[in-house]
Amino acid sequence: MLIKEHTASFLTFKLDNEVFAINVNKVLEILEMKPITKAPKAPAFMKGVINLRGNILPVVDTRNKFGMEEIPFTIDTCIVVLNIDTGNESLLIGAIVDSVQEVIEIPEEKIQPAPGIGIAFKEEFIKGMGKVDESFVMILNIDKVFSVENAFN
Amino acid sequence: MDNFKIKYKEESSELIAEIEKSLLLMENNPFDFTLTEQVFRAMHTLKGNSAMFGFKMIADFTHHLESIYELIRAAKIKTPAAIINITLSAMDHLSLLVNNEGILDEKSKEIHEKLSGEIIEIITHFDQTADGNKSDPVYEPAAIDAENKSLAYHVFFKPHKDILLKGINPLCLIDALRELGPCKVVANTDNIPSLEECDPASCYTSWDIYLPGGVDVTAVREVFSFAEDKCTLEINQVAGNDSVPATPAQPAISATLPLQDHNEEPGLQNKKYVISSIRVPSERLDSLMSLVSELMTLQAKLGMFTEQNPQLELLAVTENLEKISTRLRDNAFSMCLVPVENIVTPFHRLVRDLAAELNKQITFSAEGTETELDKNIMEGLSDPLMHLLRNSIDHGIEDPGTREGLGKPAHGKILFKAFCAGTNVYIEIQDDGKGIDPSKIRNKAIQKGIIGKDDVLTDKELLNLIFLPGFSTAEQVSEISGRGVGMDVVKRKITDIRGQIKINSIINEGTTITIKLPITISIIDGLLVKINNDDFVIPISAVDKCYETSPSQLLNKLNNLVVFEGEQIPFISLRDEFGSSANFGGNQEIVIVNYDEKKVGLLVDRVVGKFQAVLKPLGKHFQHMDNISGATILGDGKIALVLDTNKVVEQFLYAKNLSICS
Repeated sequence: MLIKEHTASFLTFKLDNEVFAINVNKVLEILEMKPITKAPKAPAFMKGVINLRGNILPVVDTRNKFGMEEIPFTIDTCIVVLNIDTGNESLLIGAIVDSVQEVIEIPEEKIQPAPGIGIAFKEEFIKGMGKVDESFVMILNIDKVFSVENAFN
Repeated sequence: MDNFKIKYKEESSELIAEIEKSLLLMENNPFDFTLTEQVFRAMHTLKGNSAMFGFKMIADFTHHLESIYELIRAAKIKTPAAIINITLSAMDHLSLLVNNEGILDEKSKEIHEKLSGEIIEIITHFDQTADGNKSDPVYEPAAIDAENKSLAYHVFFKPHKDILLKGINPLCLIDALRELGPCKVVANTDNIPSLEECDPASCYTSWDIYLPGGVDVTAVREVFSFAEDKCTLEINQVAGNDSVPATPAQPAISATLPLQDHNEEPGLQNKKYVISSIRVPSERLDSLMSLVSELMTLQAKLGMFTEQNPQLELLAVTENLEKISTRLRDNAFSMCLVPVENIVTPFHRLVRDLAAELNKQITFSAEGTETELDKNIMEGLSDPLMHLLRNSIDHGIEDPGTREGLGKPAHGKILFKAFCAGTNVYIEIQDDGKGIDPSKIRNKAIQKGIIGKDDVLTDKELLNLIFLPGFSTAEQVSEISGRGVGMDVVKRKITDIRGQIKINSIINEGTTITIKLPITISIIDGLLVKINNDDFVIPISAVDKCYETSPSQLLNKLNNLVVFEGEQIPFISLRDEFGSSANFGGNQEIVIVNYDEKKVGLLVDRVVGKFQAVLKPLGKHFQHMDNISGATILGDGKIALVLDTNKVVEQFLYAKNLSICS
């Protein structure tokens, strides 16, 4: 059996025109868009909650988080259920993305650190830039992006 | 093995708590020897457990302690206060030992040495003062065992059938035996025939009699001297008393043994004949509760489905299922209930120690400790209660001199009271101390910029200011309270378990703090309402009344007042509040809720009805949203948010920056 060392699988998804990648280890499942129960007076980023097989799953608006404008949901819009590590426990959260692309493998040597400048997003949110063919995808540090502390600012 | 260790720790902590409790009781009832007995017995068990798990240090330490009580027990004297004090310190040390599995750092080693020294000192000293019967100052376990146990006798006494006709009453013989020493008598009733065949003049019973050590055999024989030829009599020396409990043949009788032998060997008392309760890890209970909650949700779903397809068979099944699952739920709930006593026991100790430290005289009493609460609530309650008690001891109760000057008894009183009312449990902590002076709070609040100089506040409102963060009236920060953990933390912790806290205080008469708690936190009775097509649940406990209103009644919206039954009630339109600008148009309903003893109306679109909500947390990401206390899933799979009405009103007031005056 051939074990590919130093290669990780990533799920890529689109927000606006950007392609982002999340380590598949963090992804539990991908759900179709479903009615979201809004929590009154919650920040715009916290979209609300959905019923995930009898459990309450908080859902965040990833566009809003990255400062992109809100667009109406399309048939491609979906909720990626992620496992967030807060340091002492793991939480589930649903992230709304424009569309899910594919699962790709990126060898470690093809991942470069994020350029500190010239990037529109907070540096701590980006784990690195993965080179896929000739283009780059942004690998997200989702523990940071969707951390509880970051939920309210 | 680890499992056993955990069990050992749990059991040991319980034993230590039990010993502590008995010791404290002993302090007040020095002549109650059953307490000495209890302490001894618990120590004995602790020693045995520790030795079994190879914690030699703990076993040895406990052994010496036990020896002291063994001596006290034998001498039938009251336990001197000094010994109680040392035992209490030893208990602290023991619980440290148990938790660290007998491994100590340098400092605790010193304590260990010192305590062991003191204990042995007591034993030796005790020997000198005691009447000399006990001569062996070094208490090797074997020595005690040999001394106590080697001389026991087993007497088997089987009278002949016709013994009664010979004019001998076997019971008199047994009574005579009892006079020789405390003995155990087990009647053997196997041979008694059924009632029809039974001859009332015949004796069918035989007896097993166990005599303690130190009884003269000839004296025993003498008792039976007149009956010797009319019975079968066997007198055997028994190796040790431990073999005694194994001999009784009849379970029905052996089950009652512990009652008869109240003052006998400790080993006997600890044998369990009937398992009346079992230990279950709390995680298992939690998962049971969550499964029951799922079941309730599913039940609601089925109910809705049946309503849509009303077939006779289906209706019957649904109805039955509902009955059973409700009972299952109630049962599961009751399993999670624990008596308040569990958290109160350590408080006795706390009060005693603190009072001594502060040179105050305080009597602590607890009422209604049998009141039960959900264990999850109980866990969250211990710290705040501890803090409140500390406050009462430190700031509430004055020192004896001041008290006498005020004409109060030198002994201060703190009363802990728990009681049930409706679906709530109330816990009160009352002290008869100096009370809280509202004018002091006022000055402090002005000084801290919490209120303006000219603000008019009632005494009650002033008192409630102490629950604000950063508010501490203690002029000096002392060891005991005022360490920055203020009443705001207490309030927050109580709110976390969906409780409410109230304070009432009269200068120089005392302070009463009342905490109102729900019996459980996972399922609540609620009122399902619709606001702008979204579902919300308002906890029934907060609801006073519901009214229907027409748009014309709400015309005077500017000052948000509505009149019902001649009473002006301020109201909040939840539609506006939750950010929906569109007006509803038709008739709406107002749910009147209690907010801090005032009534506030919450304007909703429609009241759907009563709903039993299985409360689920919204998750950490919503932790700052305190107007919502959780969510629940409706029969159709939709989510309804559960409102915390207090917080909704508070937020509204905060936004409007106005105070409700009724």
